[in-house]
Amino acid sequence: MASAYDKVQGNVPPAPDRQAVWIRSNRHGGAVVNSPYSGDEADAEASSRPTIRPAQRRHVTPPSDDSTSSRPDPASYSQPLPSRRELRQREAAAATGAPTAVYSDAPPIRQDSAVGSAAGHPYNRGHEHNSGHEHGGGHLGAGGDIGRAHAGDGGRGDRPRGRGPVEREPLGPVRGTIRTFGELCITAGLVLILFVVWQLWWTDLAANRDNEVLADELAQDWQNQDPNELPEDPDEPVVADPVGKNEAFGIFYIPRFGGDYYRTVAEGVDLEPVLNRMGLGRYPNSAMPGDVGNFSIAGHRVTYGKPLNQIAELRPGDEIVVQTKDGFYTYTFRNFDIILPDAIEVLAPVPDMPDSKGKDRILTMTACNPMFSARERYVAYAELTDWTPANEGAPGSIKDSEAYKKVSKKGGA
Amino acid sequence: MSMYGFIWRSLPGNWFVKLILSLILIAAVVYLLMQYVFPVVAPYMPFNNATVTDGGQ
Repeated sequence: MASAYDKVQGNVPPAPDRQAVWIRSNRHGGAVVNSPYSGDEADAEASSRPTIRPAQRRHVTPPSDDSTSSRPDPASYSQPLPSRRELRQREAAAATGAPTAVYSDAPPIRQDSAVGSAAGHPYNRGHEHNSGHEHGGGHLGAGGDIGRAHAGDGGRGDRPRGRGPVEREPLGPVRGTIRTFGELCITAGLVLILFVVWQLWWTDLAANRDNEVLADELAQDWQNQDPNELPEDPDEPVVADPVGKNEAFGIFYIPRFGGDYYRTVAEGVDLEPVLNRMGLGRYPNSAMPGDVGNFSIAGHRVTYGKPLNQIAELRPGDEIVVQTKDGFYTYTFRNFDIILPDAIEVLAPVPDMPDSKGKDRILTMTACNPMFSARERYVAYAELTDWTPANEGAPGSIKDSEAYKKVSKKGGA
Repeated sequence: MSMYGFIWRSLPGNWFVKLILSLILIAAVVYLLMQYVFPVVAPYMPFNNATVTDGGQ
C-alpha cells in the first residue's frame, strides 16, 4: 500500500500506471468504505492501512474520470454510494465513450462531469436539468466541470423534483374564494385572540413597567425639590401643590393590595396617557391630597396594570398611604358603594351631598364594577387620619414594605 | 388562489427562506396590531371605564 501512496504522491504518473494504482487502491478503499455495512472491518488490512488515507484517496480517484472503459467501483469514494440513476448515467457515459476530464488536483465531488457529457442520452433526459452541461465544444478542465456540476447540484439540481407537488391543479374561482374567505375568518379569530392576550396580559406588563419607571423618576425629582413649608399647626397637613395635566405627583401604597403594591397617581382621568400608563388619575377640580374636600381618583380594575384590581378587598380601617413631595398622607378606608357610571355626586366634597361644603379630608377611589364591565362603578371612600412630613420618614404601615423600599432606594425620602 | 398560498408563493427563496420571511411578516403584523391598532380599539371595549362622569362614560 505504501508504494501506491508513493506513486500517487509522485503526481501524474503515465496513464496505464495510473490505472494500476487506481485498481489497487480501489480494492483497499472498497474494504474501508464497506466496512460499516458488511462488518468485516477487523480483517488483516487494518494494520496495513496508510495513515493519510483521505489525501491518498483524493489523489487517486480523479483518474477514474478518464478510465471510462474500466469504470470505477463507486464504493471507493468517500461519498455515499451512488444512486441507481447515477449508475445508469455512468453506464451511458461509458457507452458513448466520451473522454472527460483530465487529471487535476481538485477533489471529485460527484462524477457529474461524466454525466454532463451524456446529457443527450435518453436515460438522462427528464432526470437531470440540461442547462449548463453542453459539452459539445472543447472540454473544460476537470475543476471547471466539477464546479459547474456542483453549482447545479446545490442550486437547481434538486429543484424540479421539489417543486413538483407545489404546482397542483389550481383552485377554481369559487373554491378559491371560499378558501380565502375561510382563511380570513381564521385570521379574524386569531386577531381577536391576540387582542385578548394583548389586553389582559400585555397591557399589564407595559403599565407595570411604566409605573416603576415613573415612580423612580418621581422619587428622584422629589429629592431635588424642597418640600412645601410646613403649616404652623403640626397636625395640619401640607396641601400638595396642583400640577399640570397628565403630570404625576404622588405614589399610592395600599398594604391591603400587597406589600409590593405601589402606583403613581397623575393629574387627569383620560385613558391616555394617565389611566392606561400612569396608574391612577386624579379627577380635575377635586381636592389635592391633604386639602379639605374630596381627593378623588380613578383607576383601572382590570388591564393596564390594574391598579385598583383588589378594591373590593378593602376593609374598614385599611390604610391607604399617598406619598408626595411633601410627605405621607395616610387615609383610612371607611366604606364602599356601587353606583351608576353617571353618579358624579360621589366626587362632591361630601360624597353624595353635592350641596354641602364639608370640612373633612376625603379620598374617593372609583373603578369599574363588576370586573370587565362598564355597567356600574365601585367607589371606595377613605378619610385622612394621619400625616407625616417628608423629613420624618415614612409612616410605620409602609416603612418596611417592599414597595416603599423599592421606591426609596432610587432616591425618595 | 388562496390568500396564504398566494403569499407563500410570492415569497422568494427556498422553503427555509420562505419560512423565515413569513415568521418575520407575522411578527411585523403582530407588532403593528399591538402597537397601533389595539390601543385605538381598546377604549371602545366595555371594560376599560373606571371613571364616573356626566355622560356616564
